[in-house]
Amino acid sequence: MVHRRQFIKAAGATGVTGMAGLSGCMGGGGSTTVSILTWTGYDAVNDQVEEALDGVELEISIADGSANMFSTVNAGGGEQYDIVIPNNEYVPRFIDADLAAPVDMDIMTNFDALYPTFQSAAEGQFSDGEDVYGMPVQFGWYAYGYDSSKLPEDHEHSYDVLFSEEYEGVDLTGAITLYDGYYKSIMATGLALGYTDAFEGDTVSFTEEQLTTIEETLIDFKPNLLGFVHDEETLTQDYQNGNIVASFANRSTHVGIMNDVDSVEFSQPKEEELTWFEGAVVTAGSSNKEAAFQVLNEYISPETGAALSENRNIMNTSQDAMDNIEAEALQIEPGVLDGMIPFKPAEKDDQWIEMFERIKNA
Amino acid sequence: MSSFKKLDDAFGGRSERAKLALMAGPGVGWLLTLILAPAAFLVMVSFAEINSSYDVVWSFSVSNYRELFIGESGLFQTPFVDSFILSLRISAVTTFLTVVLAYPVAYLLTRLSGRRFKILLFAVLVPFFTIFIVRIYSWLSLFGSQGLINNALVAMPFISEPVGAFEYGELAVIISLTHAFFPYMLLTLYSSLEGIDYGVIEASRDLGATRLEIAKDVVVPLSAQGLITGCVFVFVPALGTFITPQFLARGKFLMIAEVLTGRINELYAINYGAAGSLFLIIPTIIAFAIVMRTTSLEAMG
Repeated sequence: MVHRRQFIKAAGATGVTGMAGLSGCMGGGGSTTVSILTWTGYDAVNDQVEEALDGVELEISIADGSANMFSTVNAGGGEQYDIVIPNNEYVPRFIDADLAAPVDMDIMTNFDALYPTFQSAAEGQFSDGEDVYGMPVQFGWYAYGYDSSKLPEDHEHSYDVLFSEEYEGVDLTGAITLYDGYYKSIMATGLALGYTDAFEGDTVSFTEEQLTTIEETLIDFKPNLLGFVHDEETLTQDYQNGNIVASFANRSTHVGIMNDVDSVEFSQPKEEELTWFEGAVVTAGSSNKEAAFQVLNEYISPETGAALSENRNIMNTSQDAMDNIEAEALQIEPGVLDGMIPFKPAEKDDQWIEMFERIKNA
Repeated sequence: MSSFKKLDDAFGGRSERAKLALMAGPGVGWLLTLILAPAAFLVMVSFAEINSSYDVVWSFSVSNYRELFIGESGLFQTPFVDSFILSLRISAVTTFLTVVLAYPVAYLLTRLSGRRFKILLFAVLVPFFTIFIVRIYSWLSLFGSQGLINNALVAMPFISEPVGAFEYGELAVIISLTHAFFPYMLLTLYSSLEGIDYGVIEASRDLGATRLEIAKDVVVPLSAQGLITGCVFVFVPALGTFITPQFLARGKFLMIAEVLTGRINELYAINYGAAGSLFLIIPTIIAFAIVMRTTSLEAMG
């Protein structure tokens, strides 16, 4: 039997414990929990960020992709996450839906160290004309990787490699993979066909005629493809087995492959690379905006930014952070960012995806 | 005091109907919450719209269903229909192959006993003790122009180049699915065959029936309930398979689950996904209706 006095004591203790826990979450007791919805790999630098920012604790949640991030934050009114880090082409969508808070530039002391390309991107793609709403954090690009034991390094780097049965005397029949995603594969085909004008506006906008040609090109060339693949493990196995000579995918994917297959190299096509970057947004509904911006500033700091990049095999938008990176595969050529084509939303998403389904089923 | 008596005392004085409601209530509540509510939500979303902010706009629109079946080129000229037909075909062939392969093994198991039974059963089932994704990677190594199968064939004197059939594609998917679902068919058939009175087979033999006639006129009819159940257990999951084609088709065709997942992941088109899923449920309901009409719960093992 529990005596009344014992019960009151136990209830009191439970109450004190509960309040302590609650105050911890709310920042009342000293620490502030910053909740982040992002990609895998960010948790690798949690300790480093928490050490640099006294009293800040990070809580990382992983999302499947940018669309998933947007729908999750939108459904919850933007209050359950302080920071969300989608791909750059999704940031305007957050701005349009009033889910993003204006960046507090007084806190973002590392902004000036970003490559000029990304400073401009923040002030362009991530701005409503008055305020900036997103912070470029990490970046990469899509081009093709290739097996240099079969296709020499000095070949003319061009997306034509992906659409040729033979290139500079090398047989490519059945030895090519394209990215398993409508957005990237259609854009790469468009670039190979020379439709650079489609990339000039705020959206990627191929004409109907161009889209028809892209579809016909992919259908015609499909028998020559090994398939549409984008995951690192499968591509690594294919390179190891000698199944493929060239693969169109993310640079970070190829950096991972290069760790296992020495002969794999990454191209720098003459038509330019398709660049993506992660645009971190502090949500309008966040009650910890100051701490959230401090965290973002840390992600592009020289030390934490470099550690984040090395853990994720992805480059940092901060030049200072990149200077601290030792991994050879993450080094970039000077000027490589100059001609890059940034990801932009597709003008006709629905049409593109249905077209890609038709291509696959053809 | 027995447990039933204690229970009866606890409900003391209440009517039979009240007792039943008290006992079944939590279970029924659980079912309503976790099965009917999501199913109802699925139906509602299939008639809804999704706006550019990815909000669900509750309305009654058949546009999602129209999109499934009416394409730019006309009625039934859509990727959904193409993938649906392809998925039905792959599932049907997979089911047929599991029947053909599992029947003799199940029959053999019923004829064995003791140690030999255990060894055969273990030998048949041991590959399935490994994780599914690991088995998929094994199939990945076997297929492809430079896969183990093609390398072995090219090593033969009369084959000069890799055989197209053993590249990644439909055959690879069917073989992998047949391998994956083989135990479902085997164990269901075994359970059914085990119940056959083998005196009937002996009698047929004594009356002059050939092996084929015995199989056709005696064994198959007597194990038909197990056969139907096994077919459902293989056909239904094969129809909705996602991982196997992801790896072994290499994106060169799309099974139905891939189409729906792609739309949801890329466009957050949960309304399109819900409408498509409901059509995926139709063959499943038909299959279960056949089982319920033809099979008793005992025969399902």
